[in-house]
Amino acid sequence: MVTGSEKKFDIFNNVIMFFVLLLCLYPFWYVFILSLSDVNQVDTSKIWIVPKAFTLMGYKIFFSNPKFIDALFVSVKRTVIGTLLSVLLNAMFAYALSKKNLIGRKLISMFLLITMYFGGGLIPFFLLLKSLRLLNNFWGLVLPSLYGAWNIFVMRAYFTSSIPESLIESAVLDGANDITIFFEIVLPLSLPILATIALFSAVGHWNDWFTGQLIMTLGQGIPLSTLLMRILFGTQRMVALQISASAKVNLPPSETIKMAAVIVAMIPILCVYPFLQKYFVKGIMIGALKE
Amino acid sequence: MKKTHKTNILVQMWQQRYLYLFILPGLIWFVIFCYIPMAGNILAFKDFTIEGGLWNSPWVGLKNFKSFISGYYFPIVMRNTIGISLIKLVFGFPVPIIFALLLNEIKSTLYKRTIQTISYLPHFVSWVVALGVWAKLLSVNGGLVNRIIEMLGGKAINFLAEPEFIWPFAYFSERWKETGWDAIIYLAALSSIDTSLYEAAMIDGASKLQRIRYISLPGIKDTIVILLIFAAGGIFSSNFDQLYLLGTPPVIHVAEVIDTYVYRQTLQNMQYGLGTAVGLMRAVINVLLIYAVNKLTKKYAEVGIF
Repeated sequence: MVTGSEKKFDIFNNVIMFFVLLLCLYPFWYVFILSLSDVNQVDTSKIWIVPKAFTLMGYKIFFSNPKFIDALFVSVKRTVIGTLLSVLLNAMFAYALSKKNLIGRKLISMFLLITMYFGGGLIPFFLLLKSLRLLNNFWGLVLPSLYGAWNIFVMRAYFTSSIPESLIESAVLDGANDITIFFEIVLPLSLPILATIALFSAVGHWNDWFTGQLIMTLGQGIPLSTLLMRILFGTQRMVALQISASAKVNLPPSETIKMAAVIVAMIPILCVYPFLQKYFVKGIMIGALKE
Repeated sequence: MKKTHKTNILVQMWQQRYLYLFILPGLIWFVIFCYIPMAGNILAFKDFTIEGGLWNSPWVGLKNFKSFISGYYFPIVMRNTIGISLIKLVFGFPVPIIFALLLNEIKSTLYKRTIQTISYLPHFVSWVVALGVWAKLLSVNGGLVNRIIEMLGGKAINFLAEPEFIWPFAYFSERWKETGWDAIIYLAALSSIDTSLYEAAMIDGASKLQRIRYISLPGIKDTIVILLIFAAGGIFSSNFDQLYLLGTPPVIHVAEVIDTYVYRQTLQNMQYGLGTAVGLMRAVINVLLIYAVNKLTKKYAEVGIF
């Protein structure tokens, strides 16, 4: 049944998909080969497909510069702590809210829903962080994104639809209380949604440069994302010069360092999201149905 | 009678004490990080002073709103916010639909899954990384795009410093980053279409394009309409990360939107009253739009006018 026009369509479709793949992958590959090329030795415009004047200098400088190491450490710390706390706390909230007989359930849902549509704006938020002494404080990177109404609603939808009621009822008959039920029955059965929320939370923490920019007014304790933003877009030259000066290299391959920093910032994400694909696609659907 | 009812509730609440324990830290968090800043919006009607702070600064009525509306930035910021959103909506909205329809025609599951996974990649990197990468590709000093332009006999263009390229680039970079991700919902809707429809159409001799046109597209019509209505509701929201990073001095007059204005012009200059007023205006407009959008979706769901 394959006619000529079918064949043409398939060729056309494959060409389109080829360009999609190229467009999604090549920009990152390009940065990757630049990060491995000594751009002071060769003209950047000669670098297309493989590194030229191969060097690991960019990465060596990155991992020997205290500024980068500190920022990397802050990023890892906030991502790990923030994600673990977020997943646990949002799941606890969602579990309680998934109980149909919880007194005040409607009121609490409304209380959460409002925060999805109306907020305080940047300046009241900034003044709040200031009065809570969260400026120039590590916890200022973690606490403001601890909970999220969307996370709670998605988790609640999962708990109500995917945990068999009978399982919980029989546990209650055995005398289990809500804490035991939550930790021993609900959590182990909810790995897909926990993985989804953990991924979103971790990516959010890892990529968020703005909170660091907003609260670290003294410039200390910024995460890698904020440092990267400053190197690439901020007072570019100054930061790059400082870094190469402290690295004690004669001719600093500053572009190479920048590109190495971009790659380092990407690698954790690259290593995680492809493996969670089947989970987060489901999570997205639950979230979309809620809307 | 009434008393027993009350004690019943109390008994039930006591039985649910662990559930309340689960919720309590969250309630406190939402009050502190969401509701107190909401109350902080009163600053929009005050003249913020360091000594007075949030509570004791003098009231000034609508002065902050007036000074924003009559100020230099108002027309610029409004034009950019709405203009960029409209371009993204009109030219951007169909892209993930087309991508999903095409991807849906690929038979090999492995190939399809691979393309999908790779198409998510730009979504998961930050805007800092995304724009850093593109700035490199578009750079005048040896950037790949300009190399190709020069090879074809053109002149290198400093894209990100040219005002006329900022809106198209804001559109392009957002589609580059989000097309694969936005297609997820359409692909899920496509996968729920009854396959016997396609088989019947094939027996009737319908071509692939006809099958897309008469089966796939109608099958995801409801999803499209609902997502379109929601997208239209976001016309006053802009992508802060993207436009803040694109807003360099030579192009700031085409890149400054409401959100970046609040951060760059008011927070950094300590004009807290003005910034709060602008933020509050935006929030109120957004709530009204969402309300309108919800009405529209309900109407669509009920009557099915489309």
